[in-house]
Amino acid sequence: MKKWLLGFLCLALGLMLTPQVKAASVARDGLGDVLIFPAYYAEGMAKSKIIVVNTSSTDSVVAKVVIRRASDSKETLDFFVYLSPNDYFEGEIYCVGTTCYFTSNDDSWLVGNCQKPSPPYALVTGEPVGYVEVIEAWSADLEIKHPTAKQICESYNAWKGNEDTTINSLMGLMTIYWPGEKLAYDAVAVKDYNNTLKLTIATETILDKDIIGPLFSKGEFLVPYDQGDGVDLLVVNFITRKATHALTRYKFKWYDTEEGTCLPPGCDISPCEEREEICYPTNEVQFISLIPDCTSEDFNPTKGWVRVRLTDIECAPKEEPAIGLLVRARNGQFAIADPAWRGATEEGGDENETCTDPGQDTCSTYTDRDTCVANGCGWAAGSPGTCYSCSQATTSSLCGSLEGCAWDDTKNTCEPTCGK
Amino acid sequence: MKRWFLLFLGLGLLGCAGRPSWVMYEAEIPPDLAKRFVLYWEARNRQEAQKAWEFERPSWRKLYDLKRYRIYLSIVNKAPLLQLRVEKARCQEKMCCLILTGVFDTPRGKEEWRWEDCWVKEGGVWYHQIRDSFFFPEVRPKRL
Repeated sequence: MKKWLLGFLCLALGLMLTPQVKAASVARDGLGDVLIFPAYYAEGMAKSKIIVVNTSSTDSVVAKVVIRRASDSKETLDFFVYLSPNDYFEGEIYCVGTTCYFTSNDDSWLVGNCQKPSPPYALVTGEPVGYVEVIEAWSADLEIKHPTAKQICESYNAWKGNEDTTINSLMGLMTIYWPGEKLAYDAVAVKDYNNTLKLTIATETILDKDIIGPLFSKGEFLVPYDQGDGVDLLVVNFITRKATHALTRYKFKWYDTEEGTCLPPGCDISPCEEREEICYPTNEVQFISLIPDCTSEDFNPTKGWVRVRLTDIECAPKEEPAIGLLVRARNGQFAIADPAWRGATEEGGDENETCTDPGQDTCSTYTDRDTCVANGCGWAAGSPGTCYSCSQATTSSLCGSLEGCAWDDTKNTCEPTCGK
Repeated sequence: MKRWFLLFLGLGLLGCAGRPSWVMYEAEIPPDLAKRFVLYWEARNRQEAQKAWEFERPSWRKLYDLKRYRIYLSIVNKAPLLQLRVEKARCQEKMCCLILTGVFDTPRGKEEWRWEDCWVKEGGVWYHQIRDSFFFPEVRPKRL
């Protein structure tokens, strides 16, 4: 039998016999079992409305909502929502002076022993800026037509835990609004996080950084700016960083529209023998204004683009899990977009770009070898060949049969190489 | 008699001019603040950016520019403010924070909003203190 056919059959057999535990991935379809709302904003007249939807037509879902503050990710409020099939939950964060609150009239929200809440609830040491995580705790087809939140709550309470019952059916929307204008964005959804724990209010729920971190690892954001006719703001959430946020900094590399760039402080003539770069500290949720702060006679642009580079405390480029939102205010209206990004790079180059596994759902869509491997997947030769997520190969021999994957002996995992 | 009546009417109208009908007070605020407070919110409501800008704290104005402020008003004050109520006041000699309730004419109909509005006294003059890190993010420190 030809070697390639034997290899393919072995891989196929191995994959069939190995339990298919899907690796977590960022959901391109917006449906997952973890939702991250990278920022809420409730300062001055602003309020933030959060919407969580259970898109399953058969299963009820219990989700834990955790509100965290921007400065250090301290949890300020958490609660459960009990969503029947096709159910929709809506709540609002607002602040009056220095006190911030969460409120909702939604009947999916229960507290204590499946009781109706008495809103509003103050966010404990809450801040007007923060973010929200929603973690699916449990799901089940209760085989009741239109189960009530109380019925779902009681079923969840009876569940003992230590079992993955989650389904990727949650989607979310955040709306930040003022009396006459609003800004809305979809929650970032993570598929197959696969919580198995019995989540409670008594125990803080912290997203596993070893699962979530690699999905959002970034070295820099690449963003156009135009101060001529509006205001641009980059909002960055350093998800999973929590108590270690103090160790991260960021710095800029500004460009104008003619490839010109500003020289760092202390340098008037390029190339500079001595460079002193300025790195800025960050909060867990950081608002970064996109106004060039490095200007001189020769460099004073109103538009161009900028590299917002993440660094360590020594100002050296370093990757961090981060979610970015690019907000533009123009002519009395908002627009919001996902900023471009890449891995940590050395100055001026794009070497050392990280290669990340996009997950089986994405890999299975690639039908040619070059695209498959370049995008961090593994190609199993055959007629036709098949593109797999490297994470599907759970042994070094299976990993070796996938072109574009390499076995990591220290982690005992099959990792993508992107062809490098 | 007619002259006295007209004088009385004129004085009455003059007194009322200091308190426009769309601003209501459920708490007392210093009179010198009250006058500037009304003028400021009138300017913001009409999106008269230059005029409202002059009421903002001078030290804050040095950090940002009128262009950004104009964009801020175009969004935050997009919906006309129909009524403004000073619900609570927490005032000291040089600082006064008010809890305001405003009725706005929004695309969804008339809506009530509640927020805090603070003023500081500098050089004997009350100035408004903006707190909005969305439109006016913290100015980056020059050195760590």
